[in-house]
Amino acid sequence: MTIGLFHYLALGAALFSIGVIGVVTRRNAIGVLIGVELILNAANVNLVGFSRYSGGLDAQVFVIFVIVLAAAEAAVALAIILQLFEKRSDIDVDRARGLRG
Amino acid sequence: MREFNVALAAPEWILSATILVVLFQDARTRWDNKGGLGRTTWLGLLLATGCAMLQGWFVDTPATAFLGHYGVDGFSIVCKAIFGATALFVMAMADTWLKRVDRGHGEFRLLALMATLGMFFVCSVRDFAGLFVSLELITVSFYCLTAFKRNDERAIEAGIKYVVLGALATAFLLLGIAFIYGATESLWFHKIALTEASDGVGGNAALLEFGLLLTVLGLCFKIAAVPFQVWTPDVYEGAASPVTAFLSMGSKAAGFVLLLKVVRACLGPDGDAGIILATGAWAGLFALIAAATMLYGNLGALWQGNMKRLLGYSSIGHAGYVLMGVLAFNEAGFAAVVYYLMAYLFTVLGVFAVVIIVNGALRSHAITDYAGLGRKSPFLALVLTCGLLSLAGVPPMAGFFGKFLVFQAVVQLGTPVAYTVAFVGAAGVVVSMYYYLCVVKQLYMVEAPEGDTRLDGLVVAKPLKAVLWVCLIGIFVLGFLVQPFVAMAQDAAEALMAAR
Amino acid sequence: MLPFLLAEANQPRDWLPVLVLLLLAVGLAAVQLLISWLLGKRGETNEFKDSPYECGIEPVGDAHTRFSVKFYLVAVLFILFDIEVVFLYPWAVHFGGGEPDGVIFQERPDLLGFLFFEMLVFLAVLFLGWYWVVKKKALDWERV
Repeated sequence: MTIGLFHYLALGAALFSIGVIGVVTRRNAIGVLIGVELILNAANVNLVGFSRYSGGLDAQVFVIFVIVLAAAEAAVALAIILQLFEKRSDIDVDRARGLRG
Repeated sequence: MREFNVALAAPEWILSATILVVLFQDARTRWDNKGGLGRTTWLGLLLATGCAMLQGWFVDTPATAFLGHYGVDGFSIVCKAIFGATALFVMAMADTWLKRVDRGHGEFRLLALMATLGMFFVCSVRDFAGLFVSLELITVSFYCLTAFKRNDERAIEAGIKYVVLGALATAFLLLGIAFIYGATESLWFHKIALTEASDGVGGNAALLEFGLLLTVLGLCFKIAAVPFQVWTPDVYEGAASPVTAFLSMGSKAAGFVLLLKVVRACLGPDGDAGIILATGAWAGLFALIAAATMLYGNLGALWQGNMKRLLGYSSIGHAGYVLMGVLAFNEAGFAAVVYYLMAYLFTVLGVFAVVIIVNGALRSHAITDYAGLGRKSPFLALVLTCGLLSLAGVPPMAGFFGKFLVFQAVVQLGTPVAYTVAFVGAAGVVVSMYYYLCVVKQLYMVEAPEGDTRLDGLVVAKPLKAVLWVCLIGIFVLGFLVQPFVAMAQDAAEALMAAR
Repeated sequence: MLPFLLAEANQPRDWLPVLVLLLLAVGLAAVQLLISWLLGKRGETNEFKDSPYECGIEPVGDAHTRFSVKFYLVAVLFILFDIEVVFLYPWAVHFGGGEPDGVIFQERPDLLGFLFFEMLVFLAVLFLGWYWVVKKKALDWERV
């Protein structure tokens, strides 16, 4: 059995589906964030897979940038979520509804 | 070394150096001595904007640098001028606003500068990797800016909503880029062309279209268009007013610049060399997004009692109008988009300047509190009125001509879809007239309640006064002296079309 | 494992290792349960048997203690600076220390100085960020 591009794409699709389910069903802000990170990694797996089977290296370099940016994004998101937690000891996104109208 | 052509990126170098100097200054000074940061920021922004504009005369366009990853052409120069002006206006508003905040001056200026740097890069990127990195630079800076008032629960809540939706949109965008790369084996905008199926990935055209769909959806978050528009009113209300102003102009325009580049790279009315035909389903999709966005924004704005929420919904509506220009997929449409953004710059920032001044006195954004402004502060009321009328698209103002060009570009297509979108847009304009005029009525026809002296004797700081005047003049210049600016927008659109 | 993902593994005997692994896992668990059921004495419970540690100190408080927020800030900053190293690896591999067997040296020797300078700039920017963090006392968790 050889591993082909299809396997990378299948892994990417699985990660994407798990991530979307996480984003949709989680009410905890950190849970939602984890779901988003899974989708980002699904895209990373796809990029690396395509890059491996098309001969170009540019997408693999791009993935390194994506990893760093995802870390920066997660750090900022965690900081904001933590601030909300300090304010109301609760990070349920469904209960964040002070702004409506 | 010539292929690196380092000097071409001078505006970005200046901005980067400014960021580093401000970072250093911020580390060296005490919290109550941040005046120097403001001066450095101003100097850096002025130099960078001036340098970007000078490139229009002194650079033989189109030129590329960094092995072709960075490009300067007529389109990028006009867009950089727009972003530079936006940043300068916002910095003038922030100067006034920061006086009410005792901590975090350095952080605010740094984040605003980084967002501006991202916007400058957005104009010059020539591949999807650059697109993603520059977009993230803007987005992450705005996450922090939105939640900047960290003791204010509403700001934090706005920040959470922006981060969660923004991260999701980013993930979609990246997935779209991955599929486009899979279909075309290239991250370059100008090399997008379908390749032969590799290792059993059948249906490359479908893969490319699916990737493009996800990319466009991801960009819809930045421009506040359906289906990623729900954050807009909440974030506009919760974030500090200068941030909201920056968000409504800078972030949105950056989204449109990238959307234009991606659309130009992947779609074409002529269907040349492997790009997808921009007719049929794609025109329908953009028409659907534009129509839904205009309806959502304009109908949602009808029953808003809060000025910033109203502007949030109105900003969604305007994203719909600009999308009409995108969906024309031709030079006229793209020129209309550029002109619309120029007009929107003066219009929306003028309105926000007034909102910041009034909020400084009122500590409230309720529209009913604006009662009597026309008598108490005629100049502010005049700028606000002109801004709102320009947003509504009343003839002698800048906004009218933006809308006119957009509608013209769409109607000239002559397809049923185009007529339908134009009709929905026209209906949106009529609806928007109502809620903008309601605010104007509040300014002039309603008297402030007895004993309410909060709006008496408003003092406007000098930089803000300059912003007000420039915006007021800009609104009328872009409404009367249309020709040179239309020519500029057409040159930009021509450069964009030639970029393939 | 989903069979449709593995286009080549369509013969039943290709799946034999998976079957063996499954049987082994289930069997081992079952045998262990069976042994404890056979050898253990049942029905003898008392206070000491039910306590987390039969001998030693009684546990105090909740096992789910919350860490202080100040550690979080340090952790996030650590991750940010840690992840920047990712940019160094590809550079180091291609730069090859400027040695004649490095990729850059063989393909673009004229760029050696430029690429070295670029990495210096990157590190300088990173260092300036670290200096800012230290000056803002973000790493100073006694103070927070």
